Amino acid sequence: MRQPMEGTKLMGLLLAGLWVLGVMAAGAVEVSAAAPVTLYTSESLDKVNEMKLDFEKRNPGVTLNIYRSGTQVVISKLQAEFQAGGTLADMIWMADIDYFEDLVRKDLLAAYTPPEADKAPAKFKYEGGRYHEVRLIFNTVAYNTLRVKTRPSSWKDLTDPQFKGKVGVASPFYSGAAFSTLGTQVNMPGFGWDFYRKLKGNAVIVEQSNGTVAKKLATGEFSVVSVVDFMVREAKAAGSPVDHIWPKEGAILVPTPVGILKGAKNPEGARAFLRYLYSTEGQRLFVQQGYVPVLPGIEGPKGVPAEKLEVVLTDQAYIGKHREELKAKYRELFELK
Amino acid sequence: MPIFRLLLGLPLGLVLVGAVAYPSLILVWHAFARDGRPTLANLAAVLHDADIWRVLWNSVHVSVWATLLGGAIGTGLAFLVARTDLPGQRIFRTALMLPYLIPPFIAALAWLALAGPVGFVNQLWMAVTGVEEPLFRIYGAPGIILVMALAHYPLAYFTVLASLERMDPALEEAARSSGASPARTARDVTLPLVAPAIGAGAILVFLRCMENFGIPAILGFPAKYFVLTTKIYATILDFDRAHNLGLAATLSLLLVAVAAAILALQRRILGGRAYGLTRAVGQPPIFSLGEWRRTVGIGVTVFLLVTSVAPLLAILLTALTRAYGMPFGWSNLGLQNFHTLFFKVPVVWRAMGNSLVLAASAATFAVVLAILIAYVQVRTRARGKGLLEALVILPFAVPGTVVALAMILAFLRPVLGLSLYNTIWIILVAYVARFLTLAVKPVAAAFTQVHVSLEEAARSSGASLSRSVRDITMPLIRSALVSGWFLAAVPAITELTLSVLLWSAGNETIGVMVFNMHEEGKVLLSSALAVVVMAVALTSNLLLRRLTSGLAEA
Repeated sequence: MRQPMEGTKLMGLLLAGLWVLGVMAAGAVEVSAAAPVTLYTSESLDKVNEMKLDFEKRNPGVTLNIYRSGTQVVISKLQAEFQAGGTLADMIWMADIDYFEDLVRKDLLAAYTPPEADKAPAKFKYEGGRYHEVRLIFNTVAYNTLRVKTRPSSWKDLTDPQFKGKVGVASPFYSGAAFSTLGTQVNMPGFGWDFYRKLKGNAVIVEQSNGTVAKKLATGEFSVVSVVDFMVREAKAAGSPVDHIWPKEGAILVPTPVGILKGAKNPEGARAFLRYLYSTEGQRLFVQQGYVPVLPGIEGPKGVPAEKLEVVLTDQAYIGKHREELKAKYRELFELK
Repeated sequence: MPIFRLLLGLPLGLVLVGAVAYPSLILVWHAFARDGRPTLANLAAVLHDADIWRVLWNSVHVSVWATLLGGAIGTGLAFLVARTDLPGQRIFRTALMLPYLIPPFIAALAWLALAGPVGFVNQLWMAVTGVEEPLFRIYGAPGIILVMALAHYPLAYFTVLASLERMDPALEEAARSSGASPARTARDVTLPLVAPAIGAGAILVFLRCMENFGIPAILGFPAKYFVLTTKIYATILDFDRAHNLGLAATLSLLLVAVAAAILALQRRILGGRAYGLTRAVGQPPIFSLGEWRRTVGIGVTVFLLVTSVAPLLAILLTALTRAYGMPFGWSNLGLQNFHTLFFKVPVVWRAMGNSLVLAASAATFAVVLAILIAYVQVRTRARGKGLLEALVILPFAVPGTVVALAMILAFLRPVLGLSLYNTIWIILVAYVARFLTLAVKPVAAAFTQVHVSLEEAARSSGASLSRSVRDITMPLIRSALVSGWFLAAVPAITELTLSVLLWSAGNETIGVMVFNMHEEGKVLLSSALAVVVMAVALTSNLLLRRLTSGLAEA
């Protein structure tokens, strides 16, 4: 190295190369200039992506980015980010209403009620519009039509000995829907923890997610299950040998609200997405996807009785207060880790 | 000189400190600290947790069995291919590469489609026998061991095969001409000579099994069967648990300690046992299979069909299924899952783009850094070369889950005003750190081969430094740069372990998409995407092989 300048040149070239590459990578990755709307959700991945496509088509210039995982994983990520000084999420949408309550107490949710939302039943607008139920999901009893000869009629059919070892439920530690169901059933007359002990006696299998439960019902691994309604209708529509009932005690409403976070990077975009979810187009897409719409006047999906649905509303105050106790008891009963 | 050194050292130092040393130290700090104060509380909590001991036992249990099984398969096949008159050698040599080219988590999904509770084998079994119970359960330890062994036996196979082919045939010929039977020659001469290679292959298999995340995640979660990597993953995501990241860091150190102990054991056993293996001149004696020749040939063919072809066919058929749970038949097959994937789930395209851009950028950074590192290692007498080498190897030597956790801990909060968490950059940094050593190997080897006297000759003939680099050094190392680039890029394309913990909205990778769809229970969609990933993995690997085929040992 008698000529340091030469070396300098070479290294300069290398550094320039590095820089150009970096810019190229950044350019390739970040296509749109405007801040995207970021949604953290436990919604079904393909369904929420279908919504994204439709929403972006109707709102040119707005990009919706989605972080999708199980409710507990999404909450963990949010918690980690709050602790580290701020989250990327503009809005959240998942099956754990309790967590929304927690965010309200911490004053982290921004109130916004789209005009259309006032047509929906008032009970689905929570905390003065800080979060909303945009379509309705119910936990019901479903069965495999190839394996079960007599159509079940009640939640108690899950404890019928003829299905021993062939009964599946989702884990309340992973699925918000399963947790709402647990918190509701322990207070239903004639049910309580006794019902869960009987389930255990019937060798119930606790799966992580509702998706897995629905899948294993379709394949016949399970004969009867407790699962969210739309997944069963979806599988049935695709041709799988499954159907769900409306239990005579009532299907259990599973709150899966949407809310906008204070400090959202694109609050206007987030409000536009909430407006879209409440719009006629949004509600119709929900119906297409198999959900029960929240707006009156929109025709529901096939296989859902139009009126007089027996519905058990979840008692959020109870669930919120007894969260840890419910989980601990369940963990102990089913010897889960 | 000082400017030159600075320019050489600055990017290197920046990357190695920022992407390796700093995250490693942060990881260790978090394992031994709570709320910013040093403490042994995490260690105590981990060591007092019976659950952790069981998880540790699970890790060792599945890895040991998978190593025994995979080691035996790989060694046996290497012997058959290199030392017998097995028919169809050429085809087998290529076919035995196949499991090596499929990412392990994809292999697990394929096995699920073949032999899962409602996989084709069990469906057939239940249809034929009328029994309601499946033939076997793939969830839990037995399934994990089986798939790990089949995913990793090529490592043992390659190692033993290389050793057999490099062995001096004169040794075996001497035994034969002194009257030893082929069997006796194999037992008393060949086997002892390749024993170190068998051991080395087994260690490789063991380490890969210990650090694997995809297989135990896919086959272990449904049975609530955890190993260390999946336990660390679950602990990172369990924010309800106090100090979860600190506990995960402690678990990571435990996992690294086990891997290090195994490596130390290997050094001890194999140290000083490297026999004089030279490149083979002439043909080694061939053990004739005699009348068993056909039977063994058929046996190997069936083995390959069952272990490599059947799972891939099963997942392809699953991907083509219209309605899940309906009896198998032509009317139930169609391309609708691929249609949904490509036209209704736009994130799939972005994930694919992200994976390709990440792999290409990480490989490019890695090659540029590899040139600097190889230069320092081969051409300078800089102090701290040992440390440099250690920092390059470290992120590849430790399990990917540990690297991901170190990145999270290091970059969750902005560092020096730079916010990496929740961006694609954190994945890129992790990839560069992880795959750097793969690019360094061929480049350093090429630098060693280009003798410095060649450059000096050019310089003394009046060429400038840049000219001598351009006309002498570059042409000689160009092919090494290309193979280094591909060696780093190919595993990054289908990467899962790091990105599953580091992805964020808009920054998903293709591996994460498959895993998330599977987790959500979207069997048909995840199978369809897995088939796409498989196609990408096979194509890129074939490309890699074609480009590096001229390079020995690349």
